[in-house]
Amino acid sequence: MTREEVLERLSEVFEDVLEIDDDKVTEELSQDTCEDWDSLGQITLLVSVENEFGLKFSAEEMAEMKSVAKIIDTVLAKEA
Amino acid sequence: MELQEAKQFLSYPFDSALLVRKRGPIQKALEAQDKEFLEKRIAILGGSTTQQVASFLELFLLSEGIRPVFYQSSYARFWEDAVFGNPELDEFNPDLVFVHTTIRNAKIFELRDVEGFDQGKLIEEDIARFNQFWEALTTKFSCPIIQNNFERPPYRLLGNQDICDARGLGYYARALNSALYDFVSGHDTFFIHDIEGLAADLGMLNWHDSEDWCMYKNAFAAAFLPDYAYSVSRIIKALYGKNKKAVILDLDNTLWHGVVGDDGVDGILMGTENATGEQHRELQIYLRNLTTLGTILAVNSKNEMENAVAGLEHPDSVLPPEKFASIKANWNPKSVNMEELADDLNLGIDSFLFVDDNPAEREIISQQIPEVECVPFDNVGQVAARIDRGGYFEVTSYTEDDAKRAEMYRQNAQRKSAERSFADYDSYLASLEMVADDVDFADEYMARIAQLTNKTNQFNLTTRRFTEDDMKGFREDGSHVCLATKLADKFGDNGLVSIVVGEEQGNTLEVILWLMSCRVMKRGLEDHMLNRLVAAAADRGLEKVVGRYLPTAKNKMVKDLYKDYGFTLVEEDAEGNAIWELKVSDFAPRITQISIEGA
Repeated sequence: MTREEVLERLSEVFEDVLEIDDDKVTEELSQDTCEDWDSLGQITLLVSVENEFGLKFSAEEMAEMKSVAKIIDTVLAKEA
Repeated sequence: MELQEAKQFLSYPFDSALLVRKRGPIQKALEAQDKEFLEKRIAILGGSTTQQVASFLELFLLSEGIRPVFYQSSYARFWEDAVFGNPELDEFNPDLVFVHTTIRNAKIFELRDVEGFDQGKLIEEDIARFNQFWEALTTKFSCPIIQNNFERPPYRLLGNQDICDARGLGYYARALNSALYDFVSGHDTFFIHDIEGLAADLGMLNWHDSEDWCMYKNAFAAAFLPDYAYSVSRIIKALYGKNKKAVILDLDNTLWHGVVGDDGVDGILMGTENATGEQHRELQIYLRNLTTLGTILAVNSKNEMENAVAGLEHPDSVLPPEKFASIKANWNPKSVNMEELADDLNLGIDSFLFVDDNPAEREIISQQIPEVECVPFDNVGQVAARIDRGGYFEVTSYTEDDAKRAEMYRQNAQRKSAERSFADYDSYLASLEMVADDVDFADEYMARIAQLTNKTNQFNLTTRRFTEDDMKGFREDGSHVCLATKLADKFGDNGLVSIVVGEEQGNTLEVILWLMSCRVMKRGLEDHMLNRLVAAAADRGLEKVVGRYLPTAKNKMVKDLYKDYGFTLVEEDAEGNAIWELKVSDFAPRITQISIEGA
């Protein structure tokens, strides 16, 4: 998968879970820059990302995934 | 998201992963409904993280027309909240308490040092701790309390012996459950939420999740939150009178294998000599068992009536025609039959469950009458399990009347046909030989009184809901007139069917509750109850009886009741809320064809 492909699928997840417009979902989006992305949303978000890509993240990985860029990194790393 | 789509997401069996993802839009769609929600304050006392439990519970409750307002304990402080009390919780004044504890809350998991420890003693201490908690809860709160039982632990210390050896963790869980079930048997507002069963169903392999516990203190895998919340919501909706009441059944390839019109009565299978036939028999047995709890069965089938009846009279049939309150076998659209059934049985169409092997028929009903729940299945072997896990008939109280309900509905159908043969309505009523038994609020009827109060929607002037505790309060406080009456006739006993509660206010008696089972409408019981109420007002030297009509979507039938009985309209607002009054001195007791027990 390419970064673009992952980003596109992620945008749909973000749109459903955090109710953010998908054009706002860029690699730069992070918990720091997005008000709607709070810690409670984070839990649901990561579960949905797991379901979307058929992956299971470890506790360490989940602790790191606070930005879209980092999520894409992790998804691609696990796919490999 | 459209409302129908949202409801589909929440309809059993649901896709948990999708539900987790689409929670936001689903909630918005449910909240946007232009309907009146029943608002309930629910206190969640947790032994672990509760936020997401609350958010999924909210979805399922909204879908049942209940809007919850939640209180949640500070993290894991369920025990302190009950035993020491908490001003915030007291002020919250819950309508319902849900205790979200699990096996994680057993003391054994808190121990640091196990050297020389005595599990027997630890179990005793834990049971004492929980009993103290349950006593405190039931003393503090007279509202319904839902308590999780304890599921199997994350591992079996002693392998296969773990469940029965006193050193086992499984044994520990059993001991806690035993103590819990003992407590329940003495407290009828205390309800078990069977997470041991639920976890087994969903799979113990995945229930306990290390990441979920260590990262978020979720008592079980977050993926199971929707199933868990759905399960709790089944109990809650049952408590508020939203159980389904009837299963409407197709015949061919649903109750038996084969098509009776084509294969003939001898060609259809529902017995033990054939595997498929036996699968249908298992379903018939399940349905018959449901009727012992008061569930009504009816047939909606595309068949000639004589073939339908012949099929039901098959020697292997467990459900002969008399087990059904009504049989609609014709070539009309099934949706037309559904409406007629609702009318015949005097039940809201939203209390119907529809079982039909033909997905096209289910689809039509879903489209045309979305309030009817259709059970999806590919194979008849799935149906009983689907109905069971759908939680449509959750039992929260069981009264003797429930066991006899199916029979009562059939008797009612008999009364309807007797009615057709009398030219004069009064002669017909007299022929019924009705007897009213004014049991009022005697102890043995309180459960039934609470049940009726919470589920009667049509003949209900104020639709005020009271708990058993509230009603006992009215009985004791001296300023309320509490009437409740049973009605029997020559066809059978209808059981307790009408309740009236009047509240003394100055020199008037205000009717705060007047409800009646639709089964006995327009037979004179309304007059009998009014006679008694006005007599009670006269006894207390009161001048007037005041009645209020609070309109709802379901109680139009009683809009003019007070008018019909000679009350004068005092005021009516734009929404249709009306106040009526009657001078006690102006009232003459009405004549009925009902004789009074003991009179």
